[in-house]
Amino acid sequence: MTTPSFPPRNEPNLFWLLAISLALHMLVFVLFSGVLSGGKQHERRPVYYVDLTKMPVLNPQAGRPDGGPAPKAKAAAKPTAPAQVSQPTPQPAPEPKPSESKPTQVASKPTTPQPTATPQPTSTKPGLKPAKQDAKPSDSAPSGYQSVQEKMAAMRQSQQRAQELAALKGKIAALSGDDTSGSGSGAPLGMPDGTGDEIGVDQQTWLQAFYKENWSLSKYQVTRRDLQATVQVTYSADGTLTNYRFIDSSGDAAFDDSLKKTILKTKTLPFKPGRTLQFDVVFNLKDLMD
Amino acid sequence: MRRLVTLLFALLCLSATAAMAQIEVRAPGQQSIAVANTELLPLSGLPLPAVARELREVVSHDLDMSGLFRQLDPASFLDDARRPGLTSTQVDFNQWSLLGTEILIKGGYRMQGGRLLVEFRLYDVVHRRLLTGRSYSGTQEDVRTMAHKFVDQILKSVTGKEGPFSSRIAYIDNRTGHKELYLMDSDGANSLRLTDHRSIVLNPDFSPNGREVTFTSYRPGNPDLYRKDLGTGQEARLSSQKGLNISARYRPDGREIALTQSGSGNPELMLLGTDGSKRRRLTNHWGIDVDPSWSPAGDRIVFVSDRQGNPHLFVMDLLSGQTRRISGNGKYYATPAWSPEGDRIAFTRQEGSVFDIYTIKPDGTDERRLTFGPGNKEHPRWSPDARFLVYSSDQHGGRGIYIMRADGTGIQRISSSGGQSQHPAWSRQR
Repeated sequence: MTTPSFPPRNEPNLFWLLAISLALHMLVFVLFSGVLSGGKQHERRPVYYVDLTKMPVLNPQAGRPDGGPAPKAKAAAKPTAPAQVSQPTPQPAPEPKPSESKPTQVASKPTTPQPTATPQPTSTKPGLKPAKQDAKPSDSAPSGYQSVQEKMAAMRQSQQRAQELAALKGKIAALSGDDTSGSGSGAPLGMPDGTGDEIGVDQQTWLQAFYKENWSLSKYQVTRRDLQATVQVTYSADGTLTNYRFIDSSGDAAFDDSLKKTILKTKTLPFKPGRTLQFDVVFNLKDLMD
Repeated sequence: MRRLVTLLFALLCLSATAAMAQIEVRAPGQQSIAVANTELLPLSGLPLPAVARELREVVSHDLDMSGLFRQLDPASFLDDARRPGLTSTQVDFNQWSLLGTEILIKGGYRMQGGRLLVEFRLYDVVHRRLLTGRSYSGTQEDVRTMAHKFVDQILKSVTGKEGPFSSRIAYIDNRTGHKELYLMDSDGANSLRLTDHRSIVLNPDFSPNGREVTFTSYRPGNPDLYRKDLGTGQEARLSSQKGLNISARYRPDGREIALTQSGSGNPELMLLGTDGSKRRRLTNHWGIDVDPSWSPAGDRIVFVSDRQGNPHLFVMDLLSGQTRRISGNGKYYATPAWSPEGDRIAFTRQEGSVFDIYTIKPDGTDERRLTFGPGNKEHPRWSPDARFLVYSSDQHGGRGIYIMRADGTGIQRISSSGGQSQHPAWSRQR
């Protein structure tokens, strides 16, 4: 008796299966990529985030526009930390037996390590010796020293928590639009590359608004909406227009003329940049409503 | 490795600053031009305040109607407005810049040998230069025409395309008890009756040179086609074929006239010579074919036909003879008018029981509704520069003639009340 052989199966081989799979995937890609949609692809309109309370400013401060912890906020927190560190140092003073200089040195080491050690090389020598001696008595009397260390660690933790809390409060205040400091200088708003003292969006956005405000063109002056021109402008350090040239013209006389007028109207910046400014301004009608 | 990372970081920073060095402005902040329209001053002789006021009012009306301008309050003008300055050196541009003026209209007038001489100047305040200047001479009755003509030049200076304000509008009115042909300025002034047929006159159309008007009149009992010379007033009957001789439209080159005739029993489109001679039959279909309108090149005609059931818009290529329907969803389309720019076709479409005005591209896409609200809006016709549409409407009671911008804004009634006005047609030239 022979085992019945399997009937020959009429299956395509792996190559064809892969090829069909690939073709189907390609088809799905083509269908969803919009290649077959025929019409021209619509340009994605940008999403504008407008903070009505923090408008573009000429002189943005350093910081982050998202309201994150700004360097100035850190700087504001700094003074509190050493003050709190230096203040508690006298507290453990009465406890240790050795000379009065020891606990101060020991206490100051972890908090402010740099300054105190170097200036007095001669006088510290005797001080160092007792410090070595201090290690011995610490072994002999661990409870006192440990308690100081524990207290200091706890203090450090509480200080760190206080700093974190302050930073969080600042962030929440920035997100809610409140000025944390009232004066604005300490508010965690600004630009990463900002160097000024004003709260708000960056200078580039301000310039964009400046040009837009001075650009006057009626929709009835142009017959096409796909016009675009690029103008390179140069301002001197005192904010005076020194040169402008069309890098790309639109080809439409009315449109280009309106740009010339805009540049002439903005020939003096209302601030002094302090350095030569040169940038390209691209004018188009992408947001012009019908 | 560290150097490489530092170099890459520096390059990244540089590229970031390079990207920041470009500013994109995606729309103008001011979408109208600030214009100072000063009152014209006497250059010599006695002041004529009524003339000066009328000149300024007409200019002001036309500037408003154009939609291009934002007129500054004359109360804010400084003393330069009271100084006649016919050259740019005489104008104190600083004063006007201070007010935010972009263009300035100044000028003067004087009486010279019984004729009124008017000087207009248009200045570009930003560039501190004269844009255009015109001198007009005429009688005091020509004051409005002078102002219209200068605004046409203002539009040409600002947009490169002349305005339509000095052209005229023909229309049908029944204020005499009969439907007669009238002519008026583009702002409705100086209305003048042209016919005295004491019957029914319909469907006027201007010849391209603006010197003649064709119209249909029922005076002989049959709706025949007439032509009237506006200069001499002479009339001639162009077509008196039995049945309809209606909705005649001059070809843009002025050599032929397309119209609807029903001599064969069924209304069909025909082509006539300007002397009324029959040239060619354009359609031959069992459906009713009416209301032809030429493309600016004169190679295509849009018309209304019910060959597919309801009245729809069709475009016929005159060379190939191919006809294609361009209207879509509506059930009733009527009175198409091809824009002089060629890019759109205006027409009326009935929704419910009301006709409104729409435009569509000649390929049948991008249909846009221009008018809304109660009342019928019918018979749209383009201004010669395609900036405006004129139409008739009964939206405010009695039927009147209205104009609006081609985007449907700035609707304004221009015909006087008291009659039933309809069938407007805008001349190409004055």
